[in-house]
Amino acid sequence: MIFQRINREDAEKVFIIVYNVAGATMTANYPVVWDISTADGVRVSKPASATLSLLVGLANKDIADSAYGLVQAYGYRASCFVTNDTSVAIAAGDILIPVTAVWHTARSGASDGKSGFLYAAEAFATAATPAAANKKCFIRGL
Amino acid sequence: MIFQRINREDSEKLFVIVYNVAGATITANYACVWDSGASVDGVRVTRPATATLSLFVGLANKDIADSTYGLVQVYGYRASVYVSNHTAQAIAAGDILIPVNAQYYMARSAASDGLTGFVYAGEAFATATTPAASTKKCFIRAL
Repeated sequence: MIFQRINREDAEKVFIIVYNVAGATMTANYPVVWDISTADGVRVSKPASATLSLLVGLANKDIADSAYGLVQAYGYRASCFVTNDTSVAIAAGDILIPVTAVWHTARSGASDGKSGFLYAAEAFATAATPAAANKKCFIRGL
Repeated sequence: MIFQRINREDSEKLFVIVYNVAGATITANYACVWDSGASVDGVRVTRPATATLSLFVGLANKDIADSTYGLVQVYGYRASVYVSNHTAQAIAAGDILIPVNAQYYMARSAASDGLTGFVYAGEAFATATTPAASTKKCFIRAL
């Protein structure tokens, strides 16, 4: 586990080391979850219905398949791969969650002060054709 | 607080030091919560109760005798959480587990939803006519 050295002008961040068993590269800013096929707390994979609560964090940089890499598990991050929606805009503070079988996150609900592991840090307007993009966020994955 | 030294082949884990005021040994893999009595101090822990289910701390790493200090795991994979199965609802890997009033075991709360829970099943646990607690793999997110 890596804790960023104290610097009052930088955001505090925590990273953990994981092993990619998704069968494909985990691109930087993608959400990743713990693998449950051979659960060991090191192997991570792509979000699925059964593993949405097993969110680990966001890939810090690209992690090739069958390789180790860093996942940010806590703190501010300038880029989270998130999709917008046709009718509900994302507001800063909204709760974001991983989505089954895709690499982006999506809005779950407005800030409620008692749930959520990922939170939007900037707005993301609606679109007739939603498309995922990198947006600022806060991570509370520890 | 203890952070496991970096080793890419081991899972990352975090532990906190607590003081057992439960009046009995907190066995390894048991759930414990912060004591909320008059002497609340963020060190004292005890057995889960109705009013303290949200004060979950983590899972005892090893047996903690009454009135002694010990380690509780608060983050990361753990090969054994003391959890109970159910007569009708099996536990699936990824399900949310919660502490139970007046018990040291945990129980299934709900399926994975991506935004709640402090402990998650790391393996399945089938139903049983007569439920019984056992140790199963889990992930903890309680820091």
